[in-house]
Amino acid sequence: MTRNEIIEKLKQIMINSDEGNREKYKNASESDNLATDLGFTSANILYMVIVIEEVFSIRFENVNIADFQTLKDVVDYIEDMKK
Amino acid sequence: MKWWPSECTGGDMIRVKIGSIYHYGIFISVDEIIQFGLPPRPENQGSPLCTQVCKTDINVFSGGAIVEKAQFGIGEKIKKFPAKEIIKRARMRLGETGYDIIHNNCEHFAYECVFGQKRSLQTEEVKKRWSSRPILDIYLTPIADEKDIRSVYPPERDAEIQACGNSAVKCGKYTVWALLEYAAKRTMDKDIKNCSFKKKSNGKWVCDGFRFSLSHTAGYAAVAISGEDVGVDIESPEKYKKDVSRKVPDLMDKICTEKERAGYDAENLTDFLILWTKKEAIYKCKEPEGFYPKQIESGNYSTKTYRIEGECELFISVCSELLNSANYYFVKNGDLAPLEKQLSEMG
Repeated sequence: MTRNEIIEKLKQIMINSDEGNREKYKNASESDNLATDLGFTSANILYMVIVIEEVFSIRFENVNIADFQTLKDVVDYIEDMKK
Repeated sequence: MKWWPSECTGGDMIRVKIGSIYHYGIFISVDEIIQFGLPPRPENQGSPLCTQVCKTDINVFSGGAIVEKAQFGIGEKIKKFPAKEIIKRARMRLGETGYDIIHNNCEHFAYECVFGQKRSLQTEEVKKRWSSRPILDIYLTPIADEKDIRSVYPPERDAEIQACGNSAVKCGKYTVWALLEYAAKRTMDKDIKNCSFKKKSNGKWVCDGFRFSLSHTAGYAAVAISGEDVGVDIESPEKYKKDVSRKVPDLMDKICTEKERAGYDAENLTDFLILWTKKEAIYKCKEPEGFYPKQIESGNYSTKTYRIEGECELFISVCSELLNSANYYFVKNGDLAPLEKQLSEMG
């Protein structure tokens, strides 16, 4: 799975969880800050983690919510786990 | 300075106990005691002399109670005026008004006659007790509109707000800081412009005058302010009602410790919100390295969680050692209302 494919899947996850912000998530870029640009709370990040586990068939062990600051952090994490 | 009953001579600083307070004066003779206001006893109530420097005899001053005389230490003896000067200074002020129980009372007057400067040990003691009381106030307010955003202090926080690409987050960050400004003034009597703020590497803002914690969620912002470490978190159940609520067991699986599994229903959204807000509040209060929800044993910390009902429906958790002194307030359009009646304790 390429990096772009991961990003597109992540966008879909975000849109599914919050349809009202479809445009914002559709145009999201890797450098976007999850909190200040995309409006994520830590609970949103936790939710994203469990959906990512399902969609990407990976397992986050002992999640540190503070690790995920930008969309790039999430993509990097998934890439590492998929290696 | 010590006090005990003894023979008085002109220029002595004297006092008499009335209820739980002392009334002070300057002794000149048994027929001439000068004091700021008549002794606060029922028989003197309503007299214009209650709020001006006046002269009475020793019987009116004492009301039959024991009169004590100030016994000065060596340092005080050096600083005080000679008896003649004290008498002169007291007499010069007869008829003076402007009595103020906090800033200009009978003790201030007597002290000023003797030492040349105002002081009230009684007032200082009350202030000391007040400032050392356990303080924990929690404020809640609706999120402001983007058009109402104005600049805030310090400039670093202002820049952080302005840089927010997300409008809802921008409004949340602004509102919570404006609420902090209000809370600092009301609870701590501090203007935040006189406080020194910094943002720590974990993203938490701190300042030198007091401890605080911030939280904002869909529609509302909360600030907890205290003299001790504190953490607050609010969550709106509204945003969990759709897809997320189906994921509650998975969410619980990510945050529950073994011990917590026994006490919380893994399929219940309310239980998730209670546990999640507790863990966030604990994380903000204790600032461990990283936010690993599963490593936080919520039962090991002093926390309280409430469901707020009424105008807003929210879950709020506070982590603090001062929970028994906590006051909850709702602020809207500058008006403050206690929140206690809308709070249902959840754990």
